[in-house]
Amino acid sequence: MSGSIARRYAKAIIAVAQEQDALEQTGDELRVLRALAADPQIAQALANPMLTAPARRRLALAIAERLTLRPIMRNFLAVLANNRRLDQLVGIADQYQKIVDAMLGRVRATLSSAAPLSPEQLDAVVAELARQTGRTVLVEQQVDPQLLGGVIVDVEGKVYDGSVRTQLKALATSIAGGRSLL
Amino acid sequence: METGQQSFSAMQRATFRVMKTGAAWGRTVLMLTLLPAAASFAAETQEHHGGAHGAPWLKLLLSAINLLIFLAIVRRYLGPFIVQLFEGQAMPFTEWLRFRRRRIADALAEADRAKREAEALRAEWQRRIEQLGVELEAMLKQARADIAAERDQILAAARRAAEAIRRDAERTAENEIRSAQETLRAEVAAQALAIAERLATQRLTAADQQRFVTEFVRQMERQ
Repeated sequence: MSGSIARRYAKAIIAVAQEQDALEQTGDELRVLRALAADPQIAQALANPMLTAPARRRLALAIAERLTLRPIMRNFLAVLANNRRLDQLVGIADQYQKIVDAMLGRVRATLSSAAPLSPEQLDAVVAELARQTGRTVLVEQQVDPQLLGGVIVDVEGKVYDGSVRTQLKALATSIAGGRSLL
Repeated sequence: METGQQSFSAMQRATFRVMKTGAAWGRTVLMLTLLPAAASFAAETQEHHGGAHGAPWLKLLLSAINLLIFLAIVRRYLGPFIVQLFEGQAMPFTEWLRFRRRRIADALAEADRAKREAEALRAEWQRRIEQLGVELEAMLKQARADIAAERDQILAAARRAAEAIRRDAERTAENEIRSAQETLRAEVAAQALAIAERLATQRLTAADQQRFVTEFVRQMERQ
């Protein structure tokens, strides 16, 4: 239910952003708003049913002022406040990104490694992912020393695991006779 | 005369005493036997004392009394029969005799039939008693066979139960051994993993990381 609501609002803001040729900029601002709305205290304030319509509007405009958002986003926040949909900001941002990525032929991937990859290594991985998916790959890189070595890539839920930790655990599981050690 | 009168009076007193104490049948028999004798005795006494001069009124009286008693007895005991006889309801004597003979013959035949039935019954019971021995023997034989079969069944069930218990015990022991082996193997693997992770953290270099990424890309290419 909330997914479809978020999707409707995402499509609406995409249409406005396309008219202004500001898809990327709008996406960046939505990411900032998403990070803000993901905070538990702010999420609680945005979802507070005791807030009156003027109070909600004032809150939305205060956020827009603080983040120096463009008018398009300020108006969008005002619409969400009027419609009591400020609590849907996270879902709207996710849907916006997913729809825009699909429109632009992009796929987002999360790359985790024990140590930061060199640009050459990262390019090699991205190139291979683009070949596999047939789309432009936008990689978000994370460092996780627990992996010990190697790389784990998550492309829209599909995981490529080349980490040393996983290989060692597979080996230990084999020693244990199939009993999982995870 | 005086002696005769005294004897008669004594006889009458005896008669009345008997009549008072005896049953009606006794009184009747006594009167039938004593009154004619008393009348005869009185007549004789009269003749003996010159009775030729007087009328035989006493004898006549006694005879009349005797006749009345006789008629009373006849009326008492034969009256109904006589009435039936005159009304045509009583059975003629010959017919009665034939009836009696037939009844006796029927009774004899009935007794004979009862005797035959008793003999047949006795023979039947004799046969049953003899057969009872055979049946008892058969029942005993069957009971022994049943007991033996039941014993065999119980023994077979006990053997099966013992076998099942033995198999369960073996299975339990095997499972416990297997579980212990798996636990031991898992502990060994966990310790090996911990050691390997510690060594990897200590010894993996940037060159190793480069090699891992290269190998990862190759594996993706192979997919």
